[in-house]
Amino acid sequence: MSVRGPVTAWAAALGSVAASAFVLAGAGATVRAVVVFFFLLACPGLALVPLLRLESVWTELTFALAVSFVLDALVAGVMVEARLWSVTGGVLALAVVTLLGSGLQAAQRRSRPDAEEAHP
Amino acid sequence: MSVALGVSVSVVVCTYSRARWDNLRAAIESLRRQTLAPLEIVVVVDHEPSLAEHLRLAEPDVVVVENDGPRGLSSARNRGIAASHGDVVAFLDDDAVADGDWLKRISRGYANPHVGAVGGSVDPEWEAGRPRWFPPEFDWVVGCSYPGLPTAPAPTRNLIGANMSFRRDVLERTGEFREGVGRVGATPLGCEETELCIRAARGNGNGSGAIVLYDPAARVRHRVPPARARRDYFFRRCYAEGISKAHVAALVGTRAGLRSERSYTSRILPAAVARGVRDAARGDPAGLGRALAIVGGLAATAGGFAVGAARRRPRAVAAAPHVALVAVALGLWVVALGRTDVRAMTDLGLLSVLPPAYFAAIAVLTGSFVVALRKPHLPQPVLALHAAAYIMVIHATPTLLYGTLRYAWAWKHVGIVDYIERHGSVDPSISFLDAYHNWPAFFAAAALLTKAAGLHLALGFAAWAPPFFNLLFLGALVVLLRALTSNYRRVWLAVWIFFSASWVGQDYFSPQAFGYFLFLVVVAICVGWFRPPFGSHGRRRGLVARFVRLGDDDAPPPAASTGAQRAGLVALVVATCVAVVASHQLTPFMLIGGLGALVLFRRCTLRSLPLLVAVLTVAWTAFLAVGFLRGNLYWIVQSIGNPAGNANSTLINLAHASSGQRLVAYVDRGLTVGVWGLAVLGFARRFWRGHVDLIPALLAAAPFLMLWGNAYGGEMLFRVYFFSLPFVAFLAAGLLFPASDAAASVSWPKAALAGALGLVLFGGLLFGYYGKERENYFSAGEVRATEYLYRVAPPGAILVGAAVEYPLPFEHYERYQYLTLASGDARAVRRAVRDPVGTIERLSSGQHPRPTYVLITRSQRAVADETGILPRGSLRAIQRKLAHSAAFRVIFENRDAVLFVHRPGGSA
Repeated sequence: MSVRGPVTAWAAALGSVAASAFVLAGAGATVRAVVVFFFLLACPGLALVPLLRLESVWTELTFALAVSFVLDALVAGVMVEARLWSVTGGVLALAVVTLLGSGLQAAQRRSRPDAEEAHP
Repeated sequence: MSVALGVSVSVVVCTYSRARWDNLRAAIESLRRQTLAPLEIVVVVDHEPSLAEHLRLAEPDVVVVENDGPRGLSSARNRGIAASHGDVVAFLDDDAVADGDWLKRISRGYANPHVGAVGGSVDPEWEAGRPRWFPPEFDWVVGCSYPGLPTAPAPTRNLIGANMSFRRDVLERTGEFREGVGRVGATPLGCEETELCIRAARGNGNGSGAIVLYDPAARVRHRVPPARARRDYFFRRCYAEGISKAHVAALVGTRAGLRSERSYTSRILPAAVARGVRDAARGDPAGLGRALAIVGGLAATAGGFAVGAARRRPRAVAAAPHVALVAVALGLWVVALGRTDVRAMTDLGLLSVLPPAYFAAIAVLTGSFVVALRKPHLPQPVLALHAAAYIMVIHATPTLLYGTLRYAWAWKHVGIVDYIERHGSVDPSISFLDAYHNWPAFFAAAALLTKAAGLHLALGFAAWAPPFFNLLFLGALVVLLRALTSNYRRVWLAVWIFFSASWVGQDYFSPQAFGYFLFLVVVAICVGWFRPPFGSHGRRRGLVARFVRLGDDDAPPPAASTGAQRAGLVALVVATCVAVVASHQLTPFMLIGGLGALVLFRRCTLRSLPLLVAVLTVAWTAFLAVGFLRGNLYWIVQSIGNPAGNANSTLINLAHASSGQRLVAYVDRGLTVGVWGLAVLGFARRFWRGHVDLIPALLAAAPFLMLWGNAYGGEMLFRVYFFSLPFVAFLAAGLLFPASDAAASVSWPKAALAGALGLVLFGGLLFGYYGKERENYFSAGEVRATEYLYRVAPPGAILVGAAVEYPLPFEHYERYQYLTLASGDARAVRRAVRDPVGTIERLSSGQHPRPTYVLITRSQRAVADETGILPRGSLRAIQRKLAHSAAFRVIFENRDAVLFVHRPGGSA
């Protein structure tokens, strides 16, 4: 089984768009916190890890969280060390990565539609 | 003959018992008297040869065939279909009698070429009269029509078995009665006709679906013997109908399978119950009986449906009690949380105040876990659920009980996040908490999260870090351990041991918890995907070479991967290593040690990875953390090559500790040594069986290299234990589950042993993890005092505490200077206790006298009393002396904290 599938890619893409919108608008309270947490803690990984086509949901989810943390830490770390700190910029950079990964997932599915059956 | 109306009709009657002989002959007789004669009458005898013989003699014009398939009504009906020849096959029960125009009505239905099945109404003929409690709405129980069915010819979902017919080509197209659904002998299952009708109406998906027509005027009368008019039959039949409905729903889908039932139960039955109650009110006591029969019958059917649905999922049935037990454990936990008074903690921490319900929750969880571990083919998500619940009960307890952030260092970490939020940068040469500024990636990510989420401080979510990080550890641990064995029981027991023995507490809001998760992920990828397959190590001689050659023989082969996958995984590993190097000083060394050991013993094909991490670490330290290096070089150099000293500095000075804390320390050590001992035994047992667990042994041993390198602020031994724990737990689990694969089941004594082991380790954890909670808990009063301090203290002020264990510094921390009374050598401490006013004035005096605040809190008193950093009771004495000194003034006070401000010149 795999978390691959349109749902994951869509969730990641929607998370990135929603989080970016909240941060750009500077609005919202509880909903914003929930959306941003979901986005930063899970979405970049959910967009990228399924591209690896690992065959276990457990593994993919664990790695998706790890990849999200790593990307958050790298983006935020570079901003801090290079004195380029920008919350909006950091969120947008991660959103671009997430959308790119989601798009690649869609392209991968289109080019290899049989792959879904290959990993029951 | 029926051909007159365009179709020829064969009638099939199925029978199975000589006891129904008279009924059967009446049924046949009613067929002979039809106004439209059948093409043939076929009687199928279900595994009763003498009855068939008897029948052939008595009814020579009837075609008698015997069911040679499996026993049961469906099989018998299929036999009848095969033996008959008509365009339409009609079915009449052997205890039913058809009205004279039955077949004529049936045939008329087929005038429409789209009609594929026709049936009619079935009226009960009660042999002993209708019981007054028997609700007509439940006449289906005795195989008859009931209120709610159409009163004029109309398409319907399904027909009644006692009175139905099908076009032969529909049967050929959609298949016959499905066996294993219908009644077997007198066992009152049913619904096989429902299932067939649904299939016939659906066709095979290419528009071939047929209309199923119900014509109430095509009437048969169905005998109801007294035995079927009894309550016990009523409820048994309802229950069986539920089971059958579950089968049908599973076969044709729940929506189609239950469409009619939904309207029947939502409209017809409530009205009938109301009518029964009304009748009772009007003086018909049986009305109440009918209402109750409806409610009871519905409940029995629903129960049967649940049982039927469950039977179709044996794994779900096996899992259900465990899911329920987890819910019970969580319920007990919630009760326990409500009964815990954290203010009553003694120097045994939470252990001293947790009520019995808490321990009951742990016992239920552990018991359910080991019983689940015994079962064959239990879905592993159930074991994961237990582990997740275990983590919550252990690690979310302080979060939920305290309502404030636990542990002094977590507050300091929040302070670093606050610094980055405000400055957008770090200050590597800052004087206080400089290490965090030199390895800032975790804090930077947390600052990004806090700001983007629109929060002011990381305080709210930081409190949830312990359960959060432990759940992450669970995820990575399972991926990692699954790569080491195919025996899933060993994996999950290792997981249980890990969480039962993980007492070090490096799971709070910290870069080390973050780094630990990433460490596990990197090792999991190396072991799972980048391991040479077994047998690829040649035939070299020598003990080590033999270990290398024979090690990990029964580990599952490395996961198959394509070039692209491997490239992606390498990118993941490298990025993760960079994040680790940028987040934490110690974790990269643990990575270098573990990965280096794997490469050295040819257990990892990413040979340059340890070197890469080493280069990254050196580069980071040389270029980005050079400020820290300069400030701390003396201590780093001094501790290199002194493993005994580095191990000893770990352990607190027990001579001054309180008796409870001495006990805590002894239990910690016992737990640590005990788990390592179990690991050695587990390794030995596996070795005895001919398996060398080389990878886990290497990874368990590698952290010890760090003892040679650094004291790490006196914590190194704890960190060594923490980093070796996943592998130590895995080796220990090999003691109970040494087999390469999971056996079909596990003996009860072994399961009991696993449970006992878990509980004993947990007993140790209670001391190790919960034993210091009086120090780690900060009451709302303490937090209010700290907040007040930050509001009034001007930048540049000196903040004095008794020790570092208080909820400081979490906001604008760099604006202040922090001092503690319990610092310096023993003489300095004695002097501070004797003359706190003078000591503080000396500490704060300088070229520019600055405002000085002294905060004394409940948690500081707890630290002082428990660890002995100040003589017992001396903090209260200090507080009294400050209160009586003219140089200090109390500006904030509640029952847990008192805040003094120093008035320069006040003492003069």
